Order: sequence, then C-alpha cells, then structure tokens
Amino acid sequence: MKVYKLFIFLAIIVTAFSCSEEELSETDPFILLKSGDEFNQSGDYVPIGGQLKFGISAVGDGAAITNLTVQRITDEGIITELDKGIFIEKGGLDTLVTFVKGAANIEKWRFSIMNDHRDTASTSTVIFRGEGSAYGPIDFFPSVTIGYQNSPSLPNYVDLNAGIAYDNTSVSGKEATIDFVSYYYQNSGKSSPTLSCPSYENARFYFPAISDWTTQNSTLYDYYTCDNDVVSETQFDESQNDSLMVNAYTPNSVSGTCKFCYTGKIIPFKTIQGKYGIIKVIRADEFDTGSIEIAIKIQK
Amino acid sequence: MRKIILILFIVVSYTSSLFAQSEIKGTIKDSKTKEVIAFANITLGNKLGMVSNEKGYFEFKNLKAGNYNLVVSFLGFERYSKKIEVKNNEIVDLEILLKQSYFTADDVVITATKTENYIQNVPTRINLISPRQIKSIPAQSTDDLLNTIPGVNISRTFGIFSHKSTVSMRGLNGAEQGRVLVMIDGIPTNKSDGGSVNWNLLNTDQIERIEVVKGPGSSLYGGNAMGGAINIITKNPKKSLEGRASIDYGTYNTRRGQLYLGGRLSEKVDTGFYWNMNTFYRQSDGYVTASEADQAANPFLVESDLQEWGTAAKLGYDFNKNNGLELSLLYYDDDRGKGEKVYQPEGNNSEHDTYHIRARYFGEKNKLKWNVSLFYLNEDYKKTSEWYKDDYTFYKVLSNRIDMGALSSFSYSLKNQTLTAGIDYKQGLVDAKDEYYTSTDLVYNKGKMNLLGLFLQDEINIGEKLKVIAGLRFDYAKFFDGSFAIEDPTSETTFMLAYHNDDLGEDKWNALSPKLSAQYTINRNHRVYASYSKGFRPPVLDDMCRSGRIRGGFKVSDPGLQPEYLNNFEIGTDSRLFDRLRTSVSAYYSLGDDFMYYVNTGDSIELSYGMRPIIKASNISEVQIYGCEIELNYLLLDNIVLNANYAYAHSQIKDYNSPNPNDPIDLTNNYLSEVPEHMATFSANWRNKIVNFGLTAKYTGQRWVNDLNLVDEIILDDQYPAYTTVNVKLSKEFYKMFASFSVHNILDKKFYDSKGNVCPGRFITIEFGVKF
Repeated sequence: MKVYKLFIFLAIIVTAFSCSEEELSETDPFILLKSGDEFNQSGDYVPIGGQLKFGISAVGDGAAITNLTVQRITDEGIITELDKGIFIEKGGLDTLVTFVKGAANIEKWRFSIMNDHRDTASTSTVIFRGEGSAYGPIDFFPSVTIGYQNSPSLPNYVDLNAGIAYDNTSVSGKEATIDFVSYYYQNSGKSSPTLSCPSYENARFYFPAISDWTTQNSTLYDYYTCDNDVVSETQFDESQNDSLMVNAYTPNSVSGTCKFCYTGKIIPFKTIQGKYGIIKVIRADEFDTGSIEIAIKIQK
Repeated sequence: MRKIILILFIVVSYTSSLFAQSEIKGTIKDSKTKEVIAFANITLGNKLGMVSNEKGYFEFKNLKAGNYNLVVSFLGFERYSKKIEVKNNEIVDLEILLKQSYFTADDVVITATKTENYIQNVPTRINLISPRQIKSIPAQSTDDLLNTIPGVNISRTFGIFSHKSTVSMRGLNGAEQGRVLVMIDGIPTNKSDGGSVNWNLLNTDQIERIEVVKGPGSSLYGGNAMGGAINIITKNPKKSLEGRASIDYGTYNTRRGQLYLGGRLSEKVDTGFYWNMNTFYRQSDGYVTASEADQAANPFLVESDLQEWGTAAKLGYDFNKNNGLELSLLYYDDDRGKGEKVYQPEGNNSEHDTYHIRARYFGEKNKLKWNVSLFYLNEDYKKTSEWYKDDYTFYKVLSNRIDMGALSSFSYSLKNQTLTAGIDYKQGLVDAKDEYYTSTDLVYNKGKMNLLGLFLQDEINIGEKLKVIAGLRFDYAKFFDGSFAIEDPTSETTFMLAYHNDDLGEDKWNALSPKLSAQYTINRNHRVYASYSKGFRPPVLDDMCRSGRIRGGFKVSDPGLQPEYLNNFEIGTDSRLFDRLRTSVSAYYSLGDDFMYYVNTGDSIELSYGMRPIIKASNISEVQIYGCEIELNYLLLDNIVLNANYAYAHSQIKDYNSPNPNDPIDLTNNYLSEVPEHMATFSANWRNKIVNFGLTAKYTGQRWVNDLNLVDEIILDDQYPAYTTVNVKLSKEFYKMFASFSVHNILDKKFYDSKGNVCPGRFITIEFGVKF
C-alpha cells in the first residue's frame, strides 16, 4: 500500500515538473506581410527593373528575433536577396524592404524570421512580370577624389548621392548623408586601399570623429563581384540606366568595407537608402598620405 | 629425571627467549617548532614500515633483538636515518626531531618512475613545489606555482581572467599545452580534443605538492609527455577533523571565498576512512583587455569579467599503510567574459562545465606493489560569439569533450632492482557543434580516439653509487567515428560544404618510446646523470575532425595525422656545497621529427572577411632544440631561502617539407614561436615571527610572435618584447587565524598577446581566514 502511494506521489511530481510554466508559455514566432497601397501584394504585376516594396511585421514571441531572410524563387533557382542578422528583443520587427523585379515571369518571394531559440516562421508572396521595362535613370559622377586617413589636404567623407567629398569642417551638418570614407593600410602584409562605411568599426578607428556622429550610415560593397572582376570597365562606361547596377550586385557576399581597391577595380554597392550603384577606381595610391580617385554611377 | 629437568630448562629458555620481544617507539617532531608531525614515513630495515599517527607517534612491537636501520622521511624535512641496536625485552623510546629541509632533493617523488624515490636518486631533472613553497609563492592559480621552476614558460596573459593558460618547458612552443603532460593525482588531464588543460580547475588550497619531471616521459606515460610531465598531487586529511576557511578581496573588485574540510574517521592514521572537501567561489568585475587604440574603434567593448566556482571531494579507505581505495570527484563551472558585448546579456564569453571522477586502488603485498586507476573526465564547453559588423552575428560553440580510461602499474622489488610494468587504456572523444542564431547554419564535428599502452621499466642499483633506469613503452592508437557535417548552410558556412564528410574513416598508428638513464652518486652531496629518452605527442581530435576558421585562414581536418616525436639527450649534475648552497645544472639537446604545422594547401577560400588560404595540419618539420638550466638554492639564514635560476633555450626548425610544392612558405631555419630564449627567476622566502615574506621576480626574454618570424601587424614587431614581473606576498599566522597581502606584477608591466590584448597589470589581493 505504501509503495502504491509512493508511486502516486512520484507520478504527481514527475507530471508537475514535466509541464513547466516556461514550456507552456512557448509558441512559435510569427511573420506577416503588411497590406496597403504602399506595399506590393501577392499577384501584383511589376515590369522588369520595377521596384518591389514589402512591409514586414514579425514577433519573436518572447524571444528576440535574430534573423530575417528574404529569398527570390524562380524557375532558375533560389536567390537569397537578404540574410541579415538582427536582434529585436521587444516590440517585434516592423520594417520595409525594397528589391528590383527581375526577368522571370513569376517570382515567389519568401520571407523568414528566426528567433534566438532557433524557432522559425515564414510567409511568401507571388509577383508576376508586368509589361515593358522600368529600369531607371542614374547619376554619373566621373571623378571624385578622396584623401586617405593621413592625407594632408584632401576631403575624406563622401556623399554618394551627391558625388561630393567633404572635409572635416564642411562635413558638419551633413554626417547623415555620408556613405563612405577611404583609408590605406597593410592587411596581413598586403597593400590595401580601402573603402569603408561610417558604421564600420575600422572607419571609426581611422576617422575618430565619426564616433560622435548621430547617424553612421551602412553602405554595403559586393566584394565577390569586385574580387572576381565580374563587371568590366567597358560595361561600366557604357551603362546608361540602372540595369547594370541592379544586376551586378550579389547580396550573398557583401561587407561594409571593401579592401584591395586597386586601380581599375569595379565595385557594386548598395546604400543605406537601398540605392544600387557602381564605383570604378580610376587611381588608388598605395601609401596612407595618398588618395583614391573614383567614378560613381548610382540610381537616381 | 635429569633429562626431564634438562628438557624443561631448554623449553623454558626457548619460550622465554621467544617472548623476550623488544620494541622501538617514538614521537616525531619539527626540530624548530617542536610541533608533532603526523604522517611521517617510517621504515625499519627493508620489511617494516608505518606512518606516524596524529600525535606524531609510532611503535614497532615484537621485534627480535638485533640491529635495525630506522629511516624517517616527511615532505619538507630532511631525511632522518639512525642505526639502532635493540636487546632482548628492551623498549627503545625515541624523540625524533626532523630538520626542515629547504632543498627538495631530500624529498620523495613518484612521478619520474611510478615508484617512490628520493629526487636525488632519479637520473633525470625533477623539480618539486613543496607545501612550504605553495604557502609562500604569490600565486593566483595553479600554474602560477610553477613560475619559479627553471625552463618553465607560462602563458597566461590575462592573469585570473585567462580562460586558457599554457605551461610549456624546455624550448617547446609556448602556445601548445599538448607537448607537456599534466596530471592530477596521476590522472592525465590533457584533453584529446585539443591537448589543452584547464589550469583553473583546481584551487591552490587543494594542492599538496607538484612534481615536475623534465624531458620526455613517454616511456612511462605515453602521449603528451613529450616535453615533460607535471603531476599535481592534492591534499589528504591528516587529523580527525580539520578545516580552513578564507575570503579575499582584490583589484577589479575581485572577491573569493574558500572552504576546506576534511578528516579521518579512525584513530589510526594509516587505516580507516578519510574524506575531504574543498570548495571555492570567485567573482570579478574584470577590466578592458583591448588596447587603447581598439577601445576607440569598437563601441561594444566591455570589461572581461569572471565568475567561477569549484568543488573537489575525496573519500578513501586505508586497509593499512600501503593498501587502500580512493574515490575523487571534482566539479568546476566558470563563465569568463571576453570583453565584447553587443546584445547578449553576458556578451562574448566562454563557459566550462566540468566534472572529473577518479577512482584508485593501490596496494602492496610482499615485494609487489600495484596502483590501478579508473577515470572519467567530462567537459562541456560553451562559447558565445557575437559581433556587429555590417550586420549582427551571433553563434554558440557547444562542445562535449570526454576522456576516460584505466591506468595500471605494478612494481616488483628484487634485491638490487625494481621492475615496473603496466597497461593503460584511454578513450578521448569530442562531439561539438557551432549553432548560429542569426542564420540557420549548424556545423557539427565529432571523433574518437582509443589509445592502448604497455610499458616496462627496470631500476637497477649497481653498488651504492651507480643507478640505471631502462624503460620502454609501446602505444597503439586508433581514430574512428569521425565526421564533419553542415546543416542548413547560408553564406556564413556555404564555403565549408566542400569539406562536409559524414565518415572521416579510420586512422591507426603506433609509437615506441624508449628511455635509458644512469646516474653516478659521487657522495651524498654530489651526483651526475645522463639520459636519453624519446617522447611523442598524439595528433588532436580538433585537427583530425574539425574544419573551420582559425587565425590566418581556414583549417581543413586531416584524419590521417600521425604523432610527432622528440629525441632528447641530457646530462646534469647536482651539488650541495657548504651545507647551505645547492646547485643544479642540466643541459639538453633534442631533435624533433614529424612536428605538426599548419601548411597552405595551395587553395584559398572566400571568407566573410576576404580570400584566405586553406591550411591543414601536417607532419612536416624537423626541429632542433638545445638549452641549459642552472639553479642555485641558498639557505642564507635558517629562515631565509634564496633561489635563483636561469634557463636558455634555442629552438629552430631545421627542415620544413610542405606537401604542397607551390606553398610559398618555407620555415626552414626559422625559430619556434612563443619560446623565450632567455628566462631568469629570483625568489626569496623569509619566514619570521612578525610576518612571512615571499618574493618572485621573473625575467621572460623576447619570443618570436609567429613561426614565419615576420612582423605581426598588431604587435608591430616580429618578437614580443622582454618583460620582468615581480610578485610579493606577505603572510602571517596567529592562533587559528591567518592573513596575507599579495601584489602581483608590482612594477605594473603591461604586456600584450598576439591579438593586441593587454594584461591586467598590477593586481593586489588581501586575504583573511581561519583554520583548525
């Protein structure tokens, strides 16, 4: 009889501990695409080169959201357009992402999030190719010269949209428009003229004033295309609309810094505002008091 | 009738002589303090032995009349020897006063031969850290205690905040722990996964003594004992109940509490149950390890803090002096910050959750002694890495490392020699994964290695002056169940897919480790010795089954790795001069074969920070190491001991044969990295009525930063600068209380590691405690 009671007691204990409060409160994270005229909706027709705007709303359900992935799925395969590490602990994710409609007749777009318990949620939408072409106009700045960190006189801070470089004085009040700086150093014994966005820590190391800026923009450079010379100088010179910019930028291998920017390099980039562009290095000195001269093509 | 009377007389005479038994008894005391000494070893001739009890008392009963040689020894005291003539029915009552020994040559060690021997009777270089030194050396961690030993190089850049420390010796790479075997109570603690040792596991309060045997010890211990062997021997209780409790406070708001309790359940000190338990907790706010330049550039830097606690417990039963069972348990848990925090509550950190279980059965019958151990060492390692560069990256490394096995040794004493033989079995395994939280990637690696070793050793005494030790060990190893796998790869790990392999196959190898050494004892104060020994280091599981990023490139696993070997020739001499000065000199010449180096395969791979070479551990180089060690111990006054030593090491790669003909790197004639060519230590220990004083000053010469012998872009030099550290400890015991004041790195020298991180500088600790 005593043994029987002991079994009942143990069963109650085991049951109580096997249904802990923590487990009962867990549900999966949740993601949805926003509706409304300002966003693309499933079934929309968008011409090639046209802008796609998706509003994403997600909650991690008690756990921080740590990843947002956006994939473009066509008959040709799957392209991961965005795979971004984030950390949103409270209030959930509320963001807008923009892309450009490709050549495929049907594009399925899949949006996924993961939380820091590695639980995932995803949703998707389908966009059809519309008639005509929507490749847009570009701005062209044939020559912008930027001084490295120890350059005695040349300006250092570049606004890609305006094609202007500012010095320490003139940058005042324009910090939020600065997309990159340039510096020179030896990387593992290898000479490296470098472009770097203000939010990148090395940029703050060579230009300490950036640390005090309220806005430190993040510009992403596609070093895969750059390192493998995927875009030629001729293609850069001949491009008249943003087609080359949109298609040359491969989001799988991007960084806020671009090393080894030697003379002749072609570097696709994407600004914090989502604009695509391409830089051609016309000349790059290989000493830290020198400068780098570039040509810029960027979506208007 | 006469016959009857005669027979009765003979019987009575015989029985009276039969019961005319004699006795030798006595009490053993410290000659200076007159305190009794428990647990002193007492031998009477070759057959009788015991230990003194809690009151320092011993007695040998039922002795026949005759001459006896009484020898008393106890760690930290000079050996006492006396010839005693005992007559029928005589009771010899002695008061034996042991003199404190400041020279450890009088002490008994076990690590060098697996049998008990006085240091001066073993033809190899042995250093002992005695209980008195442990009390006086200003040490924050176990490896700190080894700082005064000549030729020992300790790499612990961040002091107590280092999650990893490396102790190397005699010109071997200072970043590799795998070339020196480290044991706790005779159980190897180098992990099969990487060869490393967690030096934070033990609290210095738990340690009775440390035995350091230099030069290859593979003829007894097999793998890892290539450069030497370190055996940390933990305390056993000496009283029916004893205890010690203390708290200390130090720089960077460092707090620690320690508690030790132990006892023996039997009144006899060499029989019955005994137990002890030692626990400690330490916490510190830490400091910013990054250099000032990095601090300006990285907004996510925080202090590298620490939190750790450990408990060790021991339960044993002694059947008699030399027969017993012992079970030891150790648990250790730490959390050490790495000085960077983006979003995670603890930031970048590493955690070790470790437990050891050790069981030992030792015994003696007639001329046979045996020692059999079982062990199971488990470490759950967790590393959290997060950073914000372009976007947020957060992943954890979760690694389970297990080493388990059985060790045995049997010694048989003959007239002039002792034969020792044994079989060891060990299995090491790793089961690890990298779990990403800002992407879907999962990277797994696992593998196992079995090692089986057989050894035989003969210690031969030829006359009273010459001693020869010959030993041979055969090891057989097998690597199996290895795999490297990637699940749900994104751009973080796609480049590793080419190395995905669910079955890395098997690899087998064996190693033969001979040793031959001899010493000639000129007289009690002088001896010379010469030795040849061969040692090996097995490949580590991390190199055999894990592919991933390492500094300088992307490392590819190589399950076909073989061990590396070191042949060592050594001569040495010890002298005791003027009774107060003891000198030791050793010189060695070593040739290493098949040393493992990371070599460029000729391919490169796109990592998130650019193209990097693919590298692979390979058995490719021959190294030449030679050096010498000189040590002086001087008893200035009866209570002041001075020690000075100097070590020189020349370590060079003599041949480098890369398997890749296009590899532009050739390390031939380069110097081994992390090896100081010159090291010198001075220490002083002054015990007096007012306050005890301990000082350690160590000069560590320049070391090459990398094996390429090229300028490092962070250090901005090809060699680390030389530096000198001075540590001081003042301590006082009064009644049952004690207090100490320690200052480490009193000159506040700031030195950097190869990542540009800086040491904590001057570190002050104040301690108070009680004991009973």
